[in-house]
Amino acid sequence: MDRTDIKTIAQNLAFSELPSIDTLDRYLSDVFDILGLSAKQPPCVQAALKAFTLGVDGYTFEADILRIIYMLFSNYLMHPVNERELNVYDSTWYNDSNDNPRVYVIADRTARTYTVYPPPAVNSSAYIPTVGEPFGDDYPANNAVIIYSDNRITNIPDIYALPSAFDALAKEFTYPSDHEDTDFAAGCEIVSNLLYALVGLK
Amino acid sequence: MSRNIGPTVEILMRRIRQEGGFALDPNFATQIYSRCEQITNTALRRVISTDTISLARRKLLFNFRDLLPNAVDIISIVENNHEVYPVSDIKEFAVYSSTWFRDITGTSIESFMQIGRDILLIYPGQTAARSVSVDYVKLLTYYDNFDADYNTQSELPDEDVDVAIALAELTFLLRFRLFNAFQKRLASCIQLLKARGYRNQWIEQILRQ
Repeated sequence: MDRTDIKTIAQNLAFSELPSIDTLDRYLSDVFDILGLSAKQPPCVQAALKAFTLGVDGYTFEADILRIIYMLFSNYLMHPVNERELNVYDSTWYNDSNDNPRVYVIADRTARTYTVYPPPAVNSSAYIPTVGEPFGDDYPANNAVIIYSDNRITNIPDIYALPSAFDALAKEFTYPSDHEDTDFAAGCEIVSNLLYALVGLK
Repeated sequence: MSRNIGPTVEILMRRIRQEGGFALDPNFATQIYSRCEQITNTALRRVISTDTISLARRKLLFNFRDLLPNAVDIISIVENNHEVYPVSDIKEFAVYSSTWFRDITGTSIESFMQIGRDILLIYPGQTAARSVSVDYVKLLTYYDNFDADYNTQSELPDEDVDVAIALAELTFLLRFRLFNAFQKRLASCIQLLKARGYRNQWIEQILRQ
């Protein structure tokens, strides 16, 4: 299911009270961003290879990454830490000696950057799609695998259509506008919370 | 025993006083009811399907929606007549080996984990492709046309159709801004869910909102 379909459902549920779909678009996007960032089991999850460079410890999130759920380097599950915890891991971490990355720190949420520690001791091998199995036969050596929640617009599981439509309507009818309806918005929030609970997002 | 879609949607429209479909398009009612059926089955796990899939070799990470397009949640995996152990936390794989992610062996699959509604992790990877039998909660068929689907039998068991109707009722009572009826139906809908064995702390809090 696409976000366009969910938007159509939301417009029908609003029962012709909705003159403009521009804000609904934005609110629907906010709904999926919030779910991807905060839900224990996010609705849309992907996995991708990530190549590291020798000696480079700072990297930027790819555009479709909302939140890193797990990161694995080669065959090892890396752990998310903060800089204070790095001292516990290795009191001389600031010397920046290269080795296989074991932990990562989300350095700057706004700039969407993260740091791996230790910095990689080798360059990741390039991914060559011989049989088209990046996580199987074609898995390149010394690469990371990032499992993350993404902000996809298509291929959203069908069960999230109704709860996300109601969630977006709750936001749409709360803000001051010519169609403001706080009672309807409150009802939409209740129904969306109920449906989120039923599909396992709460 | 299951009910047909058409008469069930008619019950729904009668309950929200929209018989004849003057203010409510029966096709839209069918679509919303169908979505509510899908959500009901996700929560109550009544309709389970089994399929055999082939897992590619030397691979531990799969997108299971590509392999099983109608799967919502994986319940169990059986390989060579032995049940694969389900893991709920990725750290549990480290019990086998701290370098588990690229462990490729020729032995049987030991455990699996579902991440979100897309990713399936198995351990260990296999040296050859393996066929496994997967039990999963089915994503029920989506119906969108009242006339065409009138005599189609619903996949949801008869005793759980009331839950789907109640959820759809809530949707339309809200749509028509019938707030008093909505509040009453909300309480009875949650009681219905609890009577079907559904337990979730959020459900109790919703009633207090």
